[in-house]
Amino acid sequence: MTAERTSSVSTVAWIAGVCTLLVASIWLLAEPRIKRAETQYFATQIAAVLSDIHFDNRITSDTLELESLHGRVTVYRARENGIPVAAVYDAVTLRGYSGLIRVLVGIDSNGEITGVRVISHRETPGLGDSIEISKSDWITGFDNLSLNSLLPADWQVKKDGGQFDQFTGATITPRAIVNLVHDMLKLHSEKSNLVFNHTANN
Amino acid sequence: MGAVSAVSTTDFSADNMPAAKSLWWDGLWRNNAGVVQLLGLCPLLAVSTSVANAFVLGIATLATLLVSNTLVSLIRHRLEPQNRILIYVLIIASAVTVVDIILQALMPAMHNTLGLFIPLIVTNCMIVGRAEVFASRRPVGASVIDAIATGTGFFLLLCLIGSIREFAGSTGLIIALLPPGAFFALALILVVKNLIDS
Repeated sequence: MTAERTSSVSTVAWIAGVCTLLVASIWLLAEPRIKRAETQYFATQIAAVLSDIHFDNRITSDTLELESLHGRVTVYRARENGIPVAAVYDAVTLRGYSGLIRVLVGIDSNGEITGVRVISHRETPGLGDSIEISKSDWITGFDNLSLNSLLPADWQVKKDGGQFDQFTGATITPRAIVNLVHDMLKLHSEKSNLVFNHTANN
Repeated sequence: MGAVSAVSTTDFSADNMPAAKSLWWDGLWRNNAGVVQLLGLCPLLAVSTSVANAFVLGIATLATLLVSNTLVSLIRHRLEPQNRILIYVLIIASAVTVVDIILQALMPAMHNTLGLFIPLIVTNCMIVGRAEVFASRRPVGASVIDAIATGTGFFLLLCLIGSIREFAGSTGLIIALLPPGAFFALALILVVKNLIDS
């Protein structure tokens, strides 16, 4: 009886070992490709966020790290002839419905938003995922807004008395995005000297 | 649990080889996992809003089923009533993870669209169903054919529902693209299949 049980357990153990080995080796084979695809995707999202801005530097290597209410934010700076024209804030919020939401917020030198994109999230399909540009154009509602164009109290979803639409059945997700975008605008105005006058790292 | 183990302990080592032709017939039509056994409905209904999504999820499910059936059949003599479910879960979860990684490497955009539904293949009862009912008692060759036949049956059904919903949606019937549309499309297919069979 005991011997039988031991053999049953050891069967599970070696199968678990083989499965782990299988998954690990496939991951090692695929990792470079996945990383390359991610870099490419990130570059297209940066370009989307900076829709109308002309710049000539390698934006992904001109970065700055800032601390914010949402933890560490990476800032990518767009320059033309060395002069800063816009910055992209790469931030995550934990206030979504499920897990992290990673958002890019582009802000130009006048403090106006050039574009916002959600680049990864795990919100509910069919409800919270309307923050994706492929599902709805809600996210373009931030375009051209600045701290001057709205009162602080307007930076909320309509349900909370603000001016941004929530989605049917999903308020938490848009609330998190509105909050994050507003905080990035505030961060930008507080740190704009640092963001725009700092010389390029590379 | 009682009923399940009563069935499964009967012939773990009965290596009887059913004819390949009847396996195909079962998988594609007579015992189709989607429309006869009504298994795997969660992805079937959730991801069938377009043909492209349905196509890729169908292929991913087929690949998972193929890996899981093959591995389960290879180790079938080591399966015991008390460890077999654990082993199915280990094997299926590994197979899905591998499929997920490969899809992420080869089709990152599609991987983004399907999102959570790829990892959720783990919960597709069709896969654990084939492992328990078929692969755990049949030789590798038969299990491979069974996986391809069952997986293809599921794949074709997904594509059919995807086509119906995408087409109906494009003509302005928005409900076809919403969750209820999936149930209507499936019901329609069930009606047609039962009419043909009777």
